[in-house]
Amino acid sequence: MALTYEELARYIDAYFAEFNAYGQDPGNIHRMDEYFSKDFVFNPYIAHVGKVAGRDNWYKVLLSHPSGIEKLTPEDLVIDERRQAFVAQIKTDLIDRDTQQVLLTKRYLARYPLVEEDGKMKIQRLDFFWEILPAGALEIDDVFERDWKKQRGRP
Amino acid sequence: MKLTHDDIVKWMNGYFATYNEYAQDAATVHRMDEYFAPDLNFVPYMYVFGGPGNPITGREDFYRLLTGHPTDYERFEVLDVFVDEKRMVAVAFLIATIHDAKTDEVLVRKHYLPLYELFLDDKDRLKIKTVRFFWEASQPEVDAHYAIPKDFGGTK
Repeated sequence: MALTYEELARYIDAYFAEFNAYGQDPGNIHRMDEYFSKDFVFNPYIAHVGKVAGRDNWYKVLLSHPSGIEKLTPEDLVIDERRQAFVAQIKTDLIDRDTQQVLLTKRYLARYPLVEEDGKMKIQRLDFFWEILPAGALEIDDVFERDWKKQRGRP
Repeated sequence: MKLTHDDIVKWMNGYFATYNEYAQDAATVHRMDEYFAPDLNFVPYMYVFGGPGNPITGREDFYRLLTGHPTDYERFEVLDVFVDEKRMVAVAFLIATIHDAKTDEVLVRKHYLPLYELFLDDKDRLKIKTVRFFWEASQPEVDAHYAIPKDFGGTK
């Protein structure tokens, strides 16, 4: 059930909107089942950041940093209709949940091959590159670490 | 002239083969004129190259960068090319291997994900207008070794 170019464009718009609305909310994370395949793999090209295999493990990552919320804005989309895949350049604003302050902004470039599952096209894999900020700049993991420390039982 | 998906993939593969052969030698770098627009923009998304706020503008300045590191050279292996033929944009997934120019020893290997905005010039020749360049985030000390000079906007 390959999607046309226009269908892919609508699918991608909906994906980012739904991710921002539900992708980091434990009460609604399974709304993202519409987009991520069961065997989804997060494949980061970043030193010290490991691959995540399986949708449920991916959801654990997305929900592991409740005090810092990523808001994704796709700035450019490359839609490969023949390959049923897309590449997105994304601006991410990392927002403090309590104060709504934007803690940092950076760009991602990610490619998303799709696969058919239960009659729907879903994201099979996320090959993930990110902008490398200057040494010493506040990084995404610095923000997420606030929650990860609590989860490990350390102050 | 309308280019197909196959046309653009073939052209991109030709670009990478030509790059590997000629782009890092001052005597042959102008073979890349076939691929780069004179007003090329190179936008790097890594601080050691100055970050996206410090793009290299103009093909000649880009050539100075490509030929400005004679002690090492990089070779691209193309793993995949994605093409949006409607928008004339291609994204390549590459492994770059950086070699010592004297010994050919492999110094580092990393993945790149560059995005190429393409256009047809006034003679209907496909050219690269903009490169938006992301690379694998290696350990900071590795990336720092490949910083570009400050006069290009980098950190070296």
